[in-house]
Amino acid sequence: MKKYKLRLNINDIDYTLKVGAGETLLDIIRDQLNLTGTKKGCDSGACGSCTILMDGMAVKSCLVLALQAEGRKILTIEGLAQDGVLHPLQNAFVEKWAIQCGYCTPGMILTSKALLDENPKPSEDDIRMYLTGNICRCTGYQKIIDAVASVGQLQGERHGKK
Amino acid sequence: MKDMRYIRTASVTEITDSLKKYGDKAKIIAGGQSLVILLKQRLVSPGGLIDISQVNDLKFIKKTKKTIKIGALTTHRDIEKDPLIQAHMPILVEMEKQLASVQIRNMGTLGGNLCHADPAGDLAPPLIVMGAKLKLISAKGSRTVSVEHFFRDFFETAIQPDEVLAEIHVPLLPVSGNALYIKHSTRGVDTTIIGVAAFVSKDRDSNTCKDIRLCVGGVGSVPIRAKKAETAVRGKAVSKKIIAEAGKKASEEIHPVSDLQGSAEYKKELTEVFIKRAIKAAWDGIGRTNA
Amino acid sequence: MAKNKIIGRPFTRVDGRRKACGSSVYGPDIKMPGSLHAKFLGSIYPHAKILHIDTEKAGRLSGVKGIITNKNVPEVYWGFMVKDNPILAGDKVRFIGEPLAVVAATDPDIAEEAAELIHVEYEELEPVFDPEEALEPGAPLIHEGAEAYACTMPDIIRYGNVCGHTKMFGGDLEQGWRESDVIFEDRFSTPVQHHGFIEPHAATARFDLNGRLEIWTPTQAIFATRMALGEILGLPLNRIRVMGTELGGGFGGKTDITVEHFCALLAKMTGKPVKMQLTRSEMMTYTSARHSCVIYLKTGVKKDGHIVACEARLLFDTGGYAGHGPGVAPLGGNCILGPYRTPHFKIDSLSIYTNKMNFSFMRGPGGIQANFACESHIDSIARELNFDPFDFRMKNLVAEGDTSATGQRLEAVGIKEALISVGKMSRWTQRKKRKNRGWGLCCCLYEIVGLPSSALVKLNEDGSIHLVIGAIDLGQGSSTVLTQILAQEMDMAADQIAVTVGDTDMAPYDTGTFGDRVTFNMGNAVIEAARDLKRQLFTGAAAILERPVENLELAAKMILDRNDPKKAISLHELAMSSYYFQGGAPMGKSTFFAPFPAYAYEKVEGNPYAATPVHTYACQAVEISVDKETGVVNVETIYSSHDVGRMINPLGIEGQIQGGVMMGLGYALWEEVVFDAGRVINPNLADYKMPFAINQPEIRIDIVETKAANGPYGAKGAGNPPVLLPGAALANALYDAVGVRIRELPLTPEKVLYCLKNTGVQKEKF
Repeated sequence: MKKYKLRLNINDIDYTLKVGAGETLLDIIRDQLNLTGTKKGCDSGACGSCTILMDGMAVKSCLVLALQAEGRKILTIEGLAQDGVLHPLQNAFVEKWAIQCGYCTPGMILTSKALLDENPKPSEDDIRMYLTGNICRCTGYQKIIDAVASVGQLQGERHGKK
Repeated sequence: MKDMRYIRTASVTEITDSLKKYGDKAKIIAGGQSLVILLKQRLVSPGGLIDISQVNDLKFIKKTKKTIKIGALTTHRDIEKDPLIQAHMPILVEMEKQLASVQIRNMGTLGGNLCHADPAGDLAPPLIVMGAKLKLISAKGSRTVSVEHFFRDFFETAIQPDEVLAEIHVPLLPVSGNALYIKHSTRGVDTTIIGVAAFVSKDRDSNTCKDIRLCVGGVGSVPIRAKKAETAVRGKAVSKKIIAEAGKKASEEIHPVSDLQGSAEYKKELTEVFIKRAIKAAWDGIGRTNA
Repeated sequence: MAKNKIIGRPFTRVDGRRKACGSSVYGPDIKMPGSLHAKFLGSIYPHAKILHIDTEKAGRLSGVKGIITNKNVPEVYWGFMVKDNPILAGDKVRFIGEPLAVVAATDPDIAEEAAELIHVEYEELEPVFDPEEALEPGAPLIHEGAEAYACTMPDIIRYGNVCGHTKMFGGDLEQGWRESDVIFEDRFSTPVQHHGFIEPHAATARFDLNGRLEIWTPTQAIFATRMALGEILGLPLNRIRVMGTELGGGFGGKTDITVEHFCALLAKMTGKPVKMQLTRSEMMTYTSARHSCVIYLKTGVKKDGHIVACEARLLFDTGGYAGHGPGVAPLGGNCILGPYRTPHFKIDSLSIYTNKMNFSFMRGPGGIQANFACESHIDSIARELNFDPFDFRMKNLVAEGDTSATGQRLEAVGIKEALISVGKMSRWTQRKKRKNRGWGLCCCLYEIVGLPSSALVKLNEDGSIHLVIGAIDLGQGSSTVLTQILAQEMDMAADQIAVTVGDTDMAPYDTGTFGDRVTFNMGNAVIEAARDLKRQLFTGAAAILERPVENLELAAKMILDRNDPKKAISLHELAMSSYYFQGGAPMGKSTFFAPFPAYAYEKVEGNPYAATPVHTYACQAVEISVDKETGVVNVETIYSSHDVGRMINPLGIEGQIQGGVMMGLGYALWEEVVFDAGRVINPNLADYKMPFAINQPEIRIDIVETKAANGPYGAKGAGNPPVLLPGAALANALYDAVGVRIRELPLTPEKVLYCLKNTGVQKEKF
């Protein structure tokens, strides 16, 4: 396979890799870098379990060719907690029972983070629309919405309190 | 996927040079949201990929006196959030909010969407009823094609192997005009079954329909202008009876096929319903929605 | 026992943190150095003789290390109930996508390329796709020589294309018809539903240097997987270790082997670890899905609204192999009468071969199909007789002491409370008739699966404890519930309790995680194991403290004399003392098996699920609006009440109900695996429509606690009933809203619109 140089930053670490033109970002994250928190569910952009943040934007890594991530800053689920301290979204998902089997969870959390970074006080409708690209088969969604909304409110309050 | 050559381009010239060099042996990749799926399913197997996603010259949204010019690498999400589009073409913002998902919209480009030419695609019908045009560039020069005449068949356009779609020019809506898009799908934000775009303008003196353009996606191999339905309304007072007639004419002039999305009869019924709803909503919204 | 501080209270998921951080290791995440990757070649015909398979060209491809076909694997037939499944198709294929060969290569692309180089010569046979056609005389026979197949359970009735025929009756049906004032007849049909778990099937197998097989796989039943591999490989069970990975959704679809045996055989052949992961398309065409079903109901009632008689015929399409069909059919038959007293009845429930892929258990197996039919039928009858649907149901409800369809005595019957609760939540008696809006009701009776579960509770040197079990947590939260039970029994905080699941080398025998069985069976086992441990500890402490056992109690990791608390010993000291001095390492153990309750043995045939430890009940009301121009049904609110026996973890129960309701909603409105001449034409998640977050209506929940006498603290199970309800609830609401009665799921807008435009036309099949 013809390999090309790829330089990118994942979870605050710079990498220089050799990848083929047809390899997806999902494949190199999981297989070359052994970061298996990002999941393969359908490999066709429907389920969203492969969602990562690329320069802060939620994208489906199974639909991004690795070489198109040249020079970009990637955040996977492994990079969310800092020094063992969970991100408020992670805490909320745990506390609110927004996790059952957990397979959709990394993608759900990262998409939710992108939402809250853009819109700190989303309505329930905003949250549901934003999560359209992430399928969950276990929870029926309500507790996921509750978890995101609880962090949203918190952020909103902090925002208001200054 | 088959092993491929990868060519990264940084300017429009580099794109056209690469196209000249590789011709139909290579495929352009922009956002990749359609192409990567085709590559995985092995529906296309090019020898190389020409990555144009970093050509910043093709990412812009500019307003001139009469149009809004959009670079083909503008993403769906850029459109959704852009203040100029929100002010002057809310039809595009509303359409984008229901397109696929946020993740897809973050990567997918308008140019990629149009060149993929999915007959149920949501972008084409609104652009068609607004009379949008496309600028195609090759090493030989450039040409302009209307969006309406860009689509040839299922997933096939008028673009030549040495051309890249560079810009989309959308005329501003007239003051007495309005445009609206209704998308019908199973789960809401989902593969479109039927999409209907309507543009109407009012003759203020006679209070009749000055002009109307209707376009239906998902009922043919390309988006279809419902011209007989338009004729039923153009120049007339927009009454319930006229709207009903337009709906009926639209359902008669389209010839959808039965597939997973629904039977041909059902698609005809839906076309009638949504043509009526689109005309009424567009007409009622004149003077209220555009800047 | 310690005062209850924990049961019924929220309790944080014990596996939540690792799942939220992406640290859980699922089947696809297992990696082994030097692994080969396997891909299979599937049949292109639904029914054909295999004349020749040529793997020579494939074998020469660089990177290919091993290929298995029917020719070089043991001639073993496996199956959950009927052992009719060869390892790889031999003399013939029975569905499109049936594996003919599996290739192991250095990477998945090479394996796939090699699989495509395998040449197969077929001789097409006439296929049959409709189970009713498969029953007709002269229909193509899908399994010749089926009499030779062994069965894992006695009493499975098989003939022709039928691989399981369950028969039940009660009273005297003819008398029932005579006593009836009016008789109603209906036909219903339900679709194939894809399990839809987001995690693909993915197993990794290797043989160690001593010839012992180790396999990592997301399975719901580690011991069943081990047993199947033992039979297929001809290995005694102590030479196989199955390690259940974290599981990304099961719902019954990961109970059987799918790729495990291929990995194991190729690992044996090549001497290397072999990993096999299915694509979504392979999952939707080769592995199982929910049985589709056609149901005929005939019910006789009195004018006063009492049900007198019912004749039911359920025809389950089980595909090319029996799979779980002989289990699904009786589960459907067992609940086709609903929670209603039916003095005279006759039920026939069949599992029928067709040339489609094998179908299996999926959440609420048999019940979801049966309940759609039963509750739509009951609702139609109520309306015909001018009864309010609520009143009609109330009039006929079963109660404590009544009997089930198999003649088993019903206990802890919460259906009346559930119906009343739904009536209150939905303000049923105050609902107003508004244009294009409607209300629908649905009740259900279902059962849990018994069978053995074992638990081992070990005391560590520092006084913390370790629960070792075979039961995998699918995500429903079983490990958390069991931790709660231990926390309650041992008066300990959650961080003092660890749960190790899913390793056949370490865990004592467990039947598996399916059929709502873990809370009930494993919960009971854990309670008994904890009490066994406490007995050992109290005996040891009594000797050391020189106090009578009756005086002692356990609190905060200390055993003390309640009359003289200074006489105390810590669990740490007790543990150390036990290793050296008396008692031995404290380990509580228990196998819980609920003896099969009695039922009407002489009236039931061919029913492996005739007796259940306990039945579960639930009720639902839905409010909808209908767009009459497009046929789109909009679900506004769902009110759902569930008799779960006893709620151990409220958040867990709510989560189960919300998730189950949404799965049932998908089944009712959007989901269908579509076949065209045996080929699945929508094997992807864009064309197969599972609900999104925006499709979730408001769901209001109430819990009824009937406290089952034989359940852990009275708990039953909660996972299955929620999916049973939305189908009929929506069909009934649709009738209420716009007068359209559709007897086929899903209730697509196209069907609704057709019925609206063709009033008076009864369309049997859309």
